[in-house]
Amino acid sequence: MTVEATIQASRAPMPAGLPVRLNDVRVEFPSAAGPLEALRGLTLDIPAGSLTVIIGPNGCGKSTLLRVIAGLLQPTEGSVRIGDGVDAGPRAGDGLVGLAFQQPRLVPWLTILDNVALPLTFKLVSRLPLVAARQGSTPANVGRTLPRSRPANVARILAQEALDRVGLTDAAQLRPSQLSGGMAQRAGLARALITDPPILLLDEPFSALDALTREGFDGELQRLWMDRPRTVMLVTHSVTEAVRMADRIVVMTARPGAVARVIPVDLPRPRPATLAGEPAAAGIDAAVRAALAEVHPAELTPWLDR
Amino acid sequence: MRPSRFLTAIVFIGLLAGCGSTPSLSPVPSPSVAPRHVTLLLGFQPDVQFAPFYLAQQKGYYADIGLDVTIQYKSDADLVRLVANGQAEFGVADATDVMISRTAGIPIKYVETIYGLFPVALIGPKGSVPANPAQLAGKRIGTPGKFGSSWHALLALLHAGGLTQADVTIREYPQFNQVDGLLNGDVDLITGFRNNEPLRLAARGMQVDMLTVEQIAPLPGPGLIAGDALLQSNATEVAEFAAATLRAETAIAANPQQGLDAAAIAVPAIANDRATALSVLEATIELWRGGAAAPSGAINDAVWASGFQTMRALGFIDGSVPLDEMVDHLVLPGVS
Amino acid sequence: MRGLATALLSLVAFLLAWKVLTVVTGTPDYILPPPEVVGERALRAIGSGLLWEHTAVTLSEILLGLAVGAVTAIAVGTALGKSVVVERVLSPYIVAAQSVPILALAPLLDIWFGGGLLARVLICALIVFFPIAIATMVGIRSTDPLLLELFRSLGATPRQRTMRLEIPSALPVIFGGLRVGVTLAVIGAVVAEWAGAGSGLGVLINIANQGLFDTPLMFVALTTLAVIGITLHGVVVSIERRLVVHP
Repeated sequence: MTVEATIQASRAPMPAGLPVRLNDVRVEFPSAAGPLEALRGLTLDIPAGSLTVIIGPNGCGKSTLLRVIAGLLQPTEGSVRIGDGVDAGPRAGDGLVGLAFQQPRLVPWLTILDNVALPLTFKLVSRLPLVAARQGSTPANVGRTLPRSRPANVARILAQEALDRVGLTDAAQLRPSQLSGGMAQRAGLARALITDPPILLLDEPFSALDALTREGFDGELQRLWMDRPRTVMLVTHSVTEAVRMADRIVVMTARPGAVARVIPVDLPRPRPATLAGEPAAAGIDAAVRAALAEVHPAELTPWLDR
Repeated sequence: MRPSRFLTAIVFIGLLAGCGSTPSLSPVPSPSVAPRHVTLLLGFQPDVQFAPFYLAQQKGYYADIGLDVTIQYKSDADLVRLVANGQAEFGVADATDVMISRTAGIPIKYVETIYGLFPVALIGPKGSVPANPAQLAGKRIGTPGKFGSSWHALLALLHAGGLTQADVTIREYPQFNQVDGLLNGDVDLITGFRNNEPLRLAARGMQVDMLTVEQIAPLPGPGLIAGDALLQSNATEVAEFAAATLRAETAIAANPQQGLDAAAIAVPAIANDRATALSVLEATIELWRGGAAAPSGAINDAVWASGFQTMRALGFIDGSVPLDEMVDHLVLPGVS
Repeated sequence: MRGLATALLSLVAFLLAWKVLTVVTGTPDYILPPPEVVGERALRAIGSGLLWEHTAVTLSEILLGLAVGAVTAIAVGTALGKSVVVERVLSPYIVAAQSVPILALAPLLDIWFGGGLLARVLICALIVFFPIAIATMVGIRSTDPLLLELFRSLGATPRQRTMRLEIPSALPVIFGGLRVGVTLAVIGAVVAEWAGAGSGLGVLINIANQGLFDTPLMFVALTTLAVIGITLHGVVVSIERRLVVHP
């Protein structure tokens, strides 16, 4: 398959993202004070192409959950499956999972373009069939290689397109230090999207930004997802953001984390930033807060009543 | 002209040279003022060869002439400059270094001979040292480095034999351990001090022969130096210091044990091996004598003239500074 | 161009201060020669080829010593930075080698390695090694853990992680070590020559000082060494400007 045909294939509409299934997952870390249990008995089914928001008290294991799905952590017990294949455990770097962090984590000595292209430079050859393999192939048969016709150029073409999608067309030759917080976060998102992953994980991606920028970015993320509905999992502390963005809101228990409640959100899309004022949204908002209050540890009690 | 006290000193020295007698003569009358503090610079580290200075200090020969002498040890290069600059009054330096440094503009003069014989020789295993320097061609020769009296002597010998350093193989021993090279056969000959290396080699089982310079390419030996400034302002003091030093030298020549005892106080290492130190001292006394009955301190004009020509021919000096600016006869009359 | 003008101006000021010092203190030429005497002696030494003959030797020792020392130091420093076990095992020996005065070690090394150019390059490399290795180790250790996790999430192999994250991230600190190393290389070459060499600027210093009593020539050698050090330092700084992106 030629490079050009491959790039064309990457622009083809994706039928769906991949489903994610966690079954009775337990994750335990060694620590100075003895073993630390971050997740216990966590069972969750994420439908392909849905936008799920994870919310919960501090330390409940939200970030750990994302890392397990990304293949950065192996569960101590239980199983994680991406897709429907038999051998569907996630492996870091196989391009199926895009990861965006709270800090943009851009490499300071690379241009924005090279930063966004970074994932492709590790395993470009295996990425291209992956990019073309949207039509139903499994993670197992992505080992096909293509002739390396200047992989660096292909990576840069794809990176520029990713920058265009997040509105950073002119930032390609800038360096991370020259970007504002919002622009850097967008670049990080572009990088997460460059392999066109069927699963996108976002760990509080906009919580470091000011409120208005955050609202704007939520809107753009929603639009990007509606254009190309991959499976998205978004971790947040903001109930408002959760109600606006989610198909389903997963409320987690305190540590060790498990699923406390799953609250569906059936509101029509696209959902504006002013959603919070509408009565339908208010009801869901209250339900989420109630669920949070149940699982939240004593920290939430008022300060003066001791 | 010179003050009469000055002439008295010369007469005394002449008497010593002629009679070779022990120092039972009366010293120069000491001044009644507080002693003047002066510094004498000797090379590298305390050594039994500096016995005359230790003896003169301990027996009060310097005090008799109103001097309180402090001895310090410096490298040869620093020594010459410090004496020239007035930071020290006296020093002991190689005559060949005096020629070079004076030509380079350092204002010092050689005022008294201490070593009547040039102390460096070419040394090799018994029977292997050629008497004719032309036969040095092709030999492997060990020497500390390409400067100093050892280097000058080596080149002078080669030059006398019509050779240059290109005709031999030079091996440098910057740690001054060229005897090791001779013992393990890395070199055929080494430069060394006549009162040092042969004794060390004998102690390690090698008997040696020497090729010395005096018959082939005469060079003057080390002596006392003083700065031009001091000589202009107080030549008397220089003369008296030289005389006192010669007095001690003569005393030791007649009674080496006395020198050894004086040196043992300044050189703690002597206590470990008095026998070796005595051998070194006795060999050194022979060098001071220079073949005469007793050390005379006199500047040997013939040897100086010959040495000057040799150093010029070798290119160490360019002759721009004449010989008579390098030595000061005013203290001791030349011996022709 | 402004940088060049400033440098020239400060050089002129330095020479003037030097001249004033010799005049005011009245030190004789054979102890502190004034700049014009040194300059004249330098011209003669350059014209006769003497200066280049010795400079070429020392320059080759410095450049080779730097190459060997820096490459080894970066490799060892990377290993030290990545593994606490390696650091615990190796660092006592490295610190010991650094603490023993090189002036005392150099003659031994000279004998062990045959007393030629190889021995001198090794002595020079040894002096250069420590600051660069430690700088590399510190730089590697200070890699941003957030970036380390990013690389892991992208499936980078350990080798890719080292070559494309840890070393580039450590470059500012490594170049700090290189700046120090470059000036030490000049010292190292001179120390190596003093341990036993036939030619070189260190040897020229000895010959001028002890053999020829030619203080101006000694100053010419010293000045040449300083010029070499300054030039090499400038080269390192300009390479750093190209390679290292400072945020």
